[in-house]
Amino acid sequence: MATNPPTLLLLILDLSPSTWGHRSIIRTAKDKALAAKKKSSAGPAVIDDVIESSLAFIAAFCALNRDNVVVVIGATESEVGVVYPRKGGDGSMNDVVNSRGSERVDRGLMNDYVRLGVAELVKRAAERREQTEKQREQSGEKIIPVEEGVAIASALSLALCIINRFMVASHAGVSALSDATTTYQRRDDEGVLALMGGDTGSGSNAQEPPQRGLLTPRTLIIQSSPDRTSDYNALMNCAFAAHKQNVVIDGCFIPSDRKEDPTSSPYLEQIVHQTSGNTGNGIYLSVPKGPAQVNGALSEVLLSVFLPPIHLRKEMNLPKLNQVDFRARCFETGECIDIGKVCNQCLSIFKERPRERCWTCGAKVRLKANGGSAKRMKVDT
Amino acid sequence: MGGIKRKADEDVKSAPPPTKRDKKASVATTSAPSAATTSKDPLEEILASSNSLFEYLENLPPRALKLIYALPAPRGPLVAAAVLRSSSLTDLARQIALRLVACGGTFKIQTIVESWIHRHGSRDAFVALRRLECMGILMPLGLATRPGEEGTDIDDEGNEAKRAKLMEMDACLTDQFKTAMAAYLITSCSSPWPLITREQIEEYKKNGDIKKQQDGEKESKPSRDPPTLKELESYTQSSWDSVLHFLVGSDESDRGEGIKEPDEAMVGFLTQIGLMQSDPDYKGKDNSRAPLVITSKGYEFMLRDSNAQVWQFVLQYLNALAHHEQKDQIRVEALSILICLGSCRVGEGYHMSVLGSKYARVVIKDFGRFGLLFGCRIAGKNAFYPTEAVVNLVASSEKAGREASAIIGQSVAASRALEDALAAPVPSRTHLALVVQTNFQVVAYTRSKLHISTLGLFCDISTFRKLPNVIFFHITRDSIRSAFRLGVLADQILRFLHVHAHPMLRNSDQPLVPSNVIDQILLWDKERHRVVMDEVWVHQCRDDAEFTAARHFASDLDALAWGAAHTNKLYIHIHYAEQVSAYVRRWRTKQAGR
Repeated sequence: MATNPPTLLLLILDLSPSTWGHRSIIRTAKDKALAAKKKSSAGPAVIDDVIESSLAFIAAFCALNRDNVVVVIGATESEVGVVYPRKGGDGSMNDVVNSRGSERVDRGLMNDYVRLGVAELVKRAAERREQTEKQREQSGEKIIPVEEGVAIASALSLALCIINRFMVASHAGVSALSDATTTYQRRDDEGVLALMGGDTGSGSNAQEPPQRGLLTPRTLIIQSSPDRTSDYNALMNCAFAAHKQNVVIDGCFIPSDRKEDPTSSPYLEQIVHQTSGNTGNGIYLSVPKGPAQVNGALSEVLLSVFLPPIHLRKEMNLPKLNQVDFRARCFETGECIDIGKVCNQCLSIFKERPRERCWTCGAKVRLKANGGSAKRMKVDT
Repeated sequence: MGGIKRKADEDVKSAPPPTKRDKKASVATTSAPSAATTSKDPLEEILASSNSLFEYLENLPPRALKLIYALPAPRGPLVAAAVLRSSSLTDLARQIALRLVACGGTFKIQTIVESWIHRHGSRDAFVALRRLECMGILMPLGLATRPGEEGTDIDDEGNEAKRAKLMEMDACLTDQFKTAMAAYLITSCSSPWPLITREQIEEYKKNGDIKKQQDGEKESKPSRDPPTLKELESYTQSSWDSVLHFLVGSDESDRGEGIKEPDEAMVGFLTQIGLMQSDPDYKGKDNSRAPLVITSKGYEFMLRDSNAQVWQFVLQYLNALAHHEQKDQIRVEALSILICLGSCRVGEGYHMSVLGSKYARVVIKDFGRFGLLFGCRIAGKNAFYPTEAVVNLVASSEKAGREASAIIGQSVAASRALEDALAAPVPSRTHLALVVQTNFQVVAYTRSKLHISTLGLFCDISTFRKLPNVIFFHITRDSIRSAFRLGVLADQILRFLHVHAHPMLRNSDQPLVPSNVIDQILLWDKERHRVVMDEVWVHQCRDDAEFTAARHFASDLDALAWGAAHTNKLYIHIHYAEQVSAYVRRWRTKQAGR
């Protein structure tokens, strides 16, 4: 029976004010209708539900092991910030890293900081959004593009940096890039070849939980806004980096009830699929619409689905990703395309040939002498 | 044979009863009139042999555990969470328990085993359910085994009917655990009692003095500032060190500044546990005034790591409670307080007034004597501050579990502290770092007499070289064998070497102790049992006939140790010598008379 390894959980919360604003409008309308029929709420989750459920989830997570660490990151359209642990004062990152023997996460502080941080981030994002709206009105038209979706890619890269820092700290100063399973004592019956053959992610060494109380990192992304298409590249790069570092990413998508809103995030699915490797399986769940999102049911969902630690997941029946949409997407607009143009420097795919420069790498687009008909390369999907 | 004195294990019960010695002892020992009689309760015996705090909890019957869960918030929830994360439950058990708490209600066991868990995990599922029942989390299912009983393996084919019946039953959380855990998930309080806040101290400083003058009170001790982390640390070290020094018997001059003798109650306690005994060599008239010397159990105690040491004390304290009338109630209080102390942070204190019952106050006072708590007077009221010792005690027992952890994963802070201490040119008294070389030389970075004495248990003391910050010892066959003679085990020596190995060794992939040293110590251990000495009486038989006859007789009596047919010699155990020689005489007379 595997022992209980301490885990580092990074929780990334989607806090974009526009999405949650819409949701609360939908919710109040629906609740009114249902209350007229004397039924309890069945509407989509509002941001309060999500925060409450996340706090319950974190509490349960901390109950699993005294050394479990949680870092909460809030992501809005324009900003990404670490909500808990908060800079300076009690409960800062230093305290969490250096706590001796007692519980790593102070839950009283955590509850306070999460609420405070979320409120701050949402307020700032809303203010910034108002400003850009004003500027757009003043300056006329679409000079400043509207950014839809939420900055998940930035949040994920911030998360990976934090994970790296924790891994360095918990290796007691040794670089996190050195493979944990081969640096320490080898078992008596292993030959020299076993030592030589261990590189990250391959071989049987990677299957075992790390020894000696090192933290196992994992990430949980709770998203409810549609994907931001311009971030696709960055997002996939983060996913590859996470896979390399053996970080498992779980995804939870909370859809609204409207038919026109997406029910799932294809980018999130791809990321979760990418990081399911030898060390563990990512879990992706799109929370079913309706009563599963309200009245504390969301905490039931989170606790049942996302709580099990990585080495336990193969023993339990958890939602599996069946069909991941892997069709090629245009790097500029995010649509799925069958035929497109490819930049020959960075190999990014576009639906329409960029006029001046490639959007990704900035290479100049050269036209043939005969002007119009540029090279056309088929992209096989 | 009085050559080598064996300090044999003293029977705990035959130690002089402590009631004679200490007048100011705690409630438990003074009100234990029958301390000398053995307790026949098998439960108590099993409890007395627990190796860690959570093993003790496992051995308690579930109803006692439920009592602890039912304590008012936030203590009950903290205990529930501590039990949940302890190593008494498997990982799967934790997931099942949390799911049941979150989703409420009851589920058929069939649902749990078949839909929640994959087929190849079903054995683990049954183990998990059994553990949950043992710890009082699930309502009784008939799965739990009391310690000492054989458990039926549910997966055997012979138990098909039983298994089918089990599947139909419902798994239902006990109410106490459910409320406790639900409260834990919802509340945001992480400290079991209300803290002493800075505002309180400030307010006292401003108003309290005035009030004191008004009341004209007999407040003997003045209030002081809350202790700093360093102060708490040095307090733990000094109180613990004083006990260890006392055990080893180091003189006044050796101990260094700041270490005093432990008080009477502790000394009595040490004797009661069996770590020390009256010197059997004492030739004086009054036996009760004999000086105390360490027993072999005491040596074993010295070699263990500090968490195990602290646990031994607490365990004996809990055992002493077994004779009290109100033992269940006190036990519940003591255990809950211990676990709650484990969830506190070092450096945060509580007033004594937050404790409800008088038993709680007594328990806190006793723990203070062990060095687990720091008692002082803050803001006009008595207060106690948990120290690292008790927090680490609960933390390590959550992780260690059943197996004695040979290599203890040091926390980041501890290893960093050790490295800082080692970086100083003169090593501190508290940290010990060893490097064992392949030529059986041990290099110890320490200056403390205590560490020297501990190492001197199994290293050769006569040839040590002492530099200002480093001491060189040799491990020799004689030194290890003398350690074995004292009752120390090879495992304990090796574990001691592992635990105190130098942190730089941990970065490389060499084993912490060279393999030839490990093998050699184990071989020397095995050597002890290769040769068994028996005292025999040699009988030279006159001829073959006598030899066969006498040999038959002796082997019937089970007295024969060895017979050599070609020299006609018989080696008889000394106790049977009389009988065999009488038989031989009779046989000879019979032969002569024939």
